[in-house]
Amino acid sequence: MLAIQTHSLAKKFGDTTANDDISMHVSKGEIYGLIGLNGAGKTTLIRMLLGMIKPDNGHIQLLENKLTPNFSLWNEIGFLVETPFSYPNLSVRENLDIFFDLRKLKDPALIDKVIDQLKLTVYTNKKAKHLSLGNQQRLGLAKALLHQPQLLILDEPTNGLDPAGIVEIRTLLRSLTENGASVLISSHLLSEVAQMAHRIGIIHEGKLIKELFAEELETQLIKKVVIHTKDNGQAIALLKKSEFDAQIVGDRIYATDDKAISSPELITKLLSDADLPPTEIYVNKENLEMYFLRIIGK
Amino acid sequence: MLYEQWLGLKAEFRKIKHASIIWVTFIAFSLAPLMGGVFMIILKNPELVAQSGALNAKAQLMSISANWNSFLGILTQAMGVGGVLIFGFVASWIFGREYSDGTAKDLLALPISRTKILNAKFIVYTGWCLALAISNLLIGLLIGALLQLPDFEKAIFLKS
Repeated sequence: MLAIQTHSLAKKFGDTTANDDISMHVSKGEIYGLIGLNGAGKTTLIRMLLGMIKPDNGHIQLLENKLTPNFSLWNEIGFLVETPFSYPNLSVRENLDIFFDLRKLKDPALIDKVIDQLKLTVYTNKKAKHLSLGNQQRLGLAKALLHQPQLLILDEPTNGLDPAGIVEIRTLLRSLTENGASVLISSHLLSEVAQMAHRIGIIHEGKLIKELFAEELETQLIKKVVIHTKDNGQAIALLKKSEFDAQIVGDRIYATDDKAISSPELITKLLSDADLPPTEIYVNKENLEMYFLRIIGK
Repeated sequence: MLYEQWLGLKAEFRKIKHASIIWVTFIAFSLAPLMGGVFMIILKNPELVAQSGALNAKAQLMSISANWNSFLGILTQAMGVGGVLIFGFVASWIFGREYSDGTAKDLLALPISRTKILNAKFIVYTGWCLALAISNLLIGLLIGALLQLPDFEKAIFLKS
């Protein structure tokens, strides 16, 4: 079963193309991480998914039902769009009471449960305007989780949270998906989403330019052996003769073939035997930020 | 359907329950009958006139005298002018705050339709403004009775 499915979604604001031909899907029980720079089109996509703006082209299916103005499954969907705002003069509980009514819920225990789940218990009677940014974010998430939805659509849910809070939300979302819920989250930090999502989509200038499984990510990162010797010119000649794929960049030699990466000690031996012992040799792995910037072509 | 409307209305009441703005609008609105009462006192007690020349001149210009007819006339005018301001203010508080607080987007993807949420807001708006008008009338009647203004029957029954 698919929790979200979009077919060539497009949206323009005047001359600006916010989303262009986006076809993606999120399966049941999956956390899908949407990554992109600020202004890449993440929020536009999320707003279209929630029926807040109408796509110029394409269509959307949520929980296998087509999204129309009469869509009736909103109680199966929880959402948080951009910065979560709450009624500033109402307490945490009163804010949740409002959504308890608007979601037609019957069991008041749900409110206590979600307050406890997001560790807001001590703030229950505190006015929303007196909460810290992190706790306002928690209240926003509480509103999204109150009705125990099957599908969560969260726009930058870890904004403003401290590292402990981020880990907590990650664990919470993981446990929800283990119980069959599906999650779409957006972020501008690949490193953050990589630890949470099962699948990652990279969106750039309104286009979905890459989709991959989180476990594939590791294999996509470029690795290289960085070498420095007293005489790089002689050293590279020697490496090439031994069929290493190497080049000089600045005052370092980069060896990028699989043999070099899996057995850099062969290079050390080769250079030492030729009386060119490396003054520096290490395997360098591209980090997620560099990978992300490479993919979007920056 | 009616149940959903009721829930929307309940949510709307929760939002205004602790709002001090309600009392501000009622206090602002009660200024009109109080002001009218002051005019009536001045007109009833010519010995006070010497001390408040400006107000007296104003009262003379409005060509009113100390009776129910004039007093209710003042209240009607005050309702017309003050109402435009205060009723407008109430409307912008009920509707505009959802935007200025950034909470409007949370009302869009809910099992209760957007129309019902809007209807609930209009119902609260109507009720609030009606309560303001009635409070204005009650305070006016109270002040008028305390001042023992003459010709009550004539003002109420013979005018129309």
